Amino acid sequence: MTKLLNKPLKAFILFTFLVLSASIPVYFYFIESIWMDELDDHNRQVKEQIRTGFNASHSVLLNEKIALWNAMQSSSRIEPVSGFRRDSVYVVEREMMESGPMEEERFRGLTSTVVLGGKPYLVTVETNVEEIHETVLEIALITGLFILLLIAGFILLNRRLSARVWLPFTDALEKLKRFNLDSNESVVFKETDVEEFTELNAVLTQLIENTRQSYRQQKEFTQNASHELQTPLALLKSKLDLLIQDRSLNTSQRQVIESLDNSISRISRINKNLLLLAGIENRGYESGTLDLSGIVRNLFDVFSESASSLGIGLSAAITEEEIIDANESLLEIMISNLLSNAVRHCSPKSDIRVILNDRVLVIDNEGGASLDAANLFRRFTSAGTGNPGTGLGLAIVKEICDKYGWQVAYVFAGGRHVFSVSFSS
Amino acid sequence: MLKVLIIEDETELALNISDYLKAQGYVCELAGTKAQALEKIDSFQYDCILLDLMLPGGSGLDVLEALKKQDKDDGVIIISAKNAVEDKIRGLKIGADDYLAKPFHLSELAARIFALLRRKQFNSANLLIQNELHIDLLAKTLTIHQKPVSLTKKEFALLLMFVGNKNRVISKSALAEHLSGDMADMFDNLDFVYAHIKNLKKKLTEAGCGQYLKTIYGTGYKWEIS
Repeated sequence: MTKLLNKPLKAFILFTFLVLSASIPVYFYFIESIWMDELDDHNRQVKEQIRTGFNASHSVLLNEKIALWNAMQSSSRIEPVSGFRRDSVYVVEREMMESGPMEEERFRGLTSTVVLGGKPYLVTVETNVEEIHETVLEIALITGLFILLLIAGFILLNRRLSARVWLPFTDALEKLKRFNLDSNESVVFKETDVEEFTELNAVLTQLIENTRQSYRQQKEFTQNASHELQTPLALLKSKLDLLIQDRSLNTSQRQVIESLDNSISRISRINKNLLLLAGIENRGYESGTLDLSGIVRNLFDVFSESASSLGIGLSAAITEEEIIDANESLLEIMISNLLSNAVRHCSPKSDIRVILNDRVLVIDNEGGASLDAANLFRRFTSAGTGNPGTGLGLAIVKEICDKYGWQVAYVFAGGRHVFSVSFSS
Repeated sequence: MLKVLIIEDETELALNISDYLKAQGYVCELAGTKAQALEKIDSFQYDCILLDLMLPGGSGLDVLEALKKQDKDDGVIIISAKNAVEDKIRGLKIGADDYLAKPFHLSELAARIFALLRRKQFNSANLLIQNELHIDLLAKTLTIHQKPVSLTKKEFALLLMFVGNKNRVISKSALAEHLSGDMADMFDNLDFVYAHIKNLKKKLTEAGCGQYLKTIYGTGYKWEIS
């Protein structure tokens, strides 16, 4: 994944590179033509100096003087010619002897016919020019340097800017990451003078408010629906309790009543659990400092009696004096749900272990294969078929743990289902 | 005759409760609104008041407060569909003796009333005697033919449920709920009930107790005693 600011940066860098690269031949063309103009001027001046210089002196010994000039001057030559020729400029590359090792050098030349002492002479003036490849190389080097400077500048500025310009955005993102639908903490975004961010924050605030509201409504609905069900359920239960007192009932009628009774009990339990689930984060569950070890031990005793009557062994290793801040009923519900879950899914004649140590509670029991860990703590996703539970027990465990910031986890290890709750938040 | 006032706006439920309790030998009166309830508690004395919290005309907690202001020591059991912890805590703080969330089994209610009345009548020496059985409700011990019988907590809880509902049929689900208490998800497996009942029966029989605990096939159990 690339960062947003890096995307235009790439384009900027590419564009800079292309433009500056294209500037190399342009620079070269201009520098070359300025060079040539200047050298032509220079060559013409030399020629004029020759013409005026030689013509000003006496024409005696002109040939000797010319021979001497030619011998001394390497960059210009005077040669007698038979007729006039038009002036011409040229570029030539040849090897230069005198400057150290043999090297190809480039020259700009001018040939022009001048009259010295009444006779026509061909004057050739040549001036050393930087070679093409050297010029190109120098321009390319300088341009490259500037490209590097620009790119480095872009990257540096980008980094500085991204940290500052995107501050409101990263702040909002961080807050959204930590957002919890259950908490009533309001989310306040950083003030910003950037129009887009202000708009984004306004939209997010609205979105959060709407989500909260519909979440609240959904919870209220669950609670109201469950409440409304309580009274008719109470009526049904009490009717059945009265009905079974009837001595004239025959066996098949009693069986019908029993299955009715079981179904109503199940509905009642589901309903109670739904109410509990919808109300866990409500006020009313006041926290206090609790003796975690004592509570675990008490529940262990309660369960071990029932478990042993079914032939299930319960063993415990409970570290004393573990203290925790929580609501007592919620803590008891959480632990007893885990225990009853273990008892319910434990095969007969096997054992359950309860370990409390260093603020971690582990409850494990023997099992055949791993449960569906991803869905285990979701509502109504009971792992086994023919499950007598309400499908809400572990969801309640999760909800209570979430309320206090405890971590609940399930793993299948060494042929055992291991549930653990870490109380250090 | 023990008098019970049922403050409950759901008339049919109130009648069912009253039917069940009458067969236990209680005298029941009904109040369907807050006004009726206040009127009744002003004029009469009850041994036990069953109090619904959501009443036409106001909260049942107001009735409870009025009762406490009059310094009456009627036993109060809150029966509420609002299984809200705050209500429960507030109710018990104001002076209710017990709290039972709806929906409940009538046998559970009867056992609670029985326990409450026993507590109120015999605070110091709460010894319940049924033939050869001597049940100390405070110390939670049982002696049969003057010999102590050691019961587990669950077995004792079952025994109390039975003696609080003598000669009534108690369904297995009512016993399961009685054993699980507040923990709704705890004993949803009826195997527990069978196992505990079996153990209790065995202990009673071994101690030479009469066969009071009868299995009513397809329904539940009955504590039969004349």
